[in-house]
Formats: sequence, C-alpha cells, structure tokens
Amino acid sequence: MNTDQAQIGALPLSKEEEHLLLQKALHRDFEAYAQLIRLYHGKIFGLAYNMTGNREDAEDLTQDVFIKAYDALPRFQGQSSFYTWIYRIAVNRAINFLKKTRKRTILSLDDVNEGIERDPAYVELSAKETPLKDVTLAELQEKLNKALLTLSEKHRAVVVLHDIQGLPHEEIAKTLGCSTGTVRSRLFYARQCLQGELAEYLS
Amino acid sequence: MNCQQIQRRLLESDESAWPVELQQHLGQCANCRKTWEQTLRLRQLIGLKRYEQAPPGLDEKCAVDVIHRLKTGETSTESLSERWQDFLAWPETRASLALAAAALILLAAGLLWITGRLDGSRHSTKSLANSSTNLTTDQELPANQMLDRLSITNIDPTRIEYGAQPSRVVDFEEK
Repeated sequence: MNTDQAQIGALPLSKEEEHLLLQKALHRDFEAYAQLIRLYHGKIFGLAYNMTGNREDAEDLTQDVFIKAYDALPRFQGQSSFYTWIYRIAVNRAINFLKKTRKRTILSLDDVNEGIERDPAYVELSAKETPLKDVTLAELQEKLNKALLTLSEKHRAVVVLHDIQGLPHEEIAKTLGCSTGTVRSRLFYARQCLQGELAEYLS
Repeated sequence: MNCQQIQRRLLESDESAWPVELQQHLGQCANCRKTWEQTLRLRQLIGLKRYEQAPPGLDEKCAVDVIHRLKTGETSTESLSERWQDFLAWPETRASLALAAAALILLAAGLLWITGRLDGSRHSTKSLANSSTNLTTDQELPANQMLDRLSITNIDPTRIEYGAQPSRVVDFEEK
C-alpha cells in the first residue's frame, strides 16, 4: 500500500475548500475551525498516540495542538500546506510534552480497525510458520508500542511520520525543520533499534 | 558501494531512492538481501499501527471541547518558558533570529571599521604634524633633537630639566 497517497490524499477537501475554511477560521468562524478539527483529528490523534503511547495523553495533546494552531493561525502564511504546518505544531507539542512529563508511560491499547486482518502485510506476517502466527493482535500492539517507546522523541517522531503516517522524507524534513539527510540518519538509527526490539518477529 | 554502505542505505531509504548499483548488488549478495527482507518485514510490522484508530466520536468531542475552550478563553495551559520553547522550535523563527544576529554582527563590524578609520586619520594627522617643523609639537621631541632642530649647538642637553622653565636651567645670555 502506498501510504503517502493514503495519508495525504485521504482528505475529502480540495485545496480551495481547505483555504476557504482557513480564511473563515481566521475570522473567528468557530464552525469552520470545528470542520478542520474533524478533518485532521484522526491524523493528529494518531501522531499524538504513537508519540506518547497513551490514549489519555494523546487526547489532551490533540486538543492542545488544535488550540495552539488556532492561536497561531494568523501567522500561517500558506508557504507550506496546512497539514505540514499543523503536523509541525503537533510534533513540537508532543516532544515538549514528553520532555516535561518524563513519566513512565502507561501503555493503553486503542481500537484496531478490522481492516488490519485483511492487510496483505498482516496476512503474510501472521501466516503459518512465522513467529507471529500465535500472537494476538493485542499482544502485537503492546509489543509494537513498547518497541516504539524505547526510541528517543526525535527518532520516534521520524518513524511515526514515515512508517506509520506515510509522509515522505521531504515532508518530514519540513515538519521537523531539519534536512532530509538528518531524517534518513534518524530513520537508520531508529530502525536499527527497532530491529533489535522486535527481532523475534523478524527472523 | 560495499556491503556496509548498502545495508545502511537499505535501512535509511525506500526502494524509490535506490541507485541501480544497489539493486544489482542485492541480486548478487545473499547477506544484503537478507538484511533487506528483515527491513521490509520491520516496516510492514510497524506500518500495522496505522490501523489503530481513535475511538468513534472522539473527533466530535475534541471539536466541541476545543471550540468551547476557544470561546471561553481557557486556552493557556503553558508557562512562559514553554511558549518560548515553542517559539524557538519553528525553523522560520530560528532563521529570523540567525538573520538578526548576522545583521547585528555586520553592524558592529561596520562601526568598528568606521571608528578604526577615524582613529587612523587622527593618527596620520599627528604623524604629519610631528614630521613638520611646527614648534607646538616639538615638546614631544627629546631635548637633543629639539636643540638640533633649532640649530643650537652650545647647550648640553643633559642639563635640561624636563618640565621646568628653560630659562631657569639654561642661561643663554651667560653662554
């Protein structure tokens, strides 16, 4: 599956419609902003959840991101797309949040879309004679969350944005405010760590 | 490219960014092919997390809560230092600050240069004056040179007491 298209192209709004909503929101049209929240909630919540590994924190963080974005809306100049801009706010907020709390994250499991069982990758990975065949979805989720949480905030952000949210390297670089070389380097290190954490499922 | 470089490339980039050389290498090297298969499996495994979803209705609850907080002004939950950190986290902010710093450095360098030029021209004027026969600057010359300049040959310069009135030390009439 081409996750780039799935993530970026999934919005049911055209650029013009999105721009119109942004203009209305800028003029304190709360209903227009509520529409933008509904549109981006899934992505921002997913990012927050995978960064914190905790649903309650992800909910709080998601609200904070939308409030922060509303405050900063007059400074949004449209040089990057709105989703890159709001992702950047979300990643910065998540990293700040994690630095501030420094608490032992309590894993909570979220609902899994039933589509996972039809995903060719999952079918292949959980087929007979593979290490995943006896693992339940909940166990797999827990294992993946734990593995992600072993990474530093910056390395985790790159994995979440690339391998889960499907952003290309260039978009991640814009979102994080670094070079694509840095993105690749972080991805290399993060995947190396994850290979160690998930070795039992990769043989 | 050797195996180490290939394996790094496999972990940090996607197929679309592979050079032909890497693809050819994978066809020949079983060890690198194994690394690639493991990397692919890891990506597929992590990618399964995209099926995790927010509970139904959470988007609406979030929209309602956020709009309520915006309307009532209950938005500020962060400290000043957090706001400052957020402000600095933006690349545009960092770029603006870097530009401002560069402008300040240039301004300071310009001021130093101008000041240096003014000092230099004052120094040049002084040198010019020293080299002339203007008697007002002769006070800074050693006594023997001053006597030479005045073509006075019958006075012992070691007898001149600096800071005193010449008339009290040297009696021209006497000599």
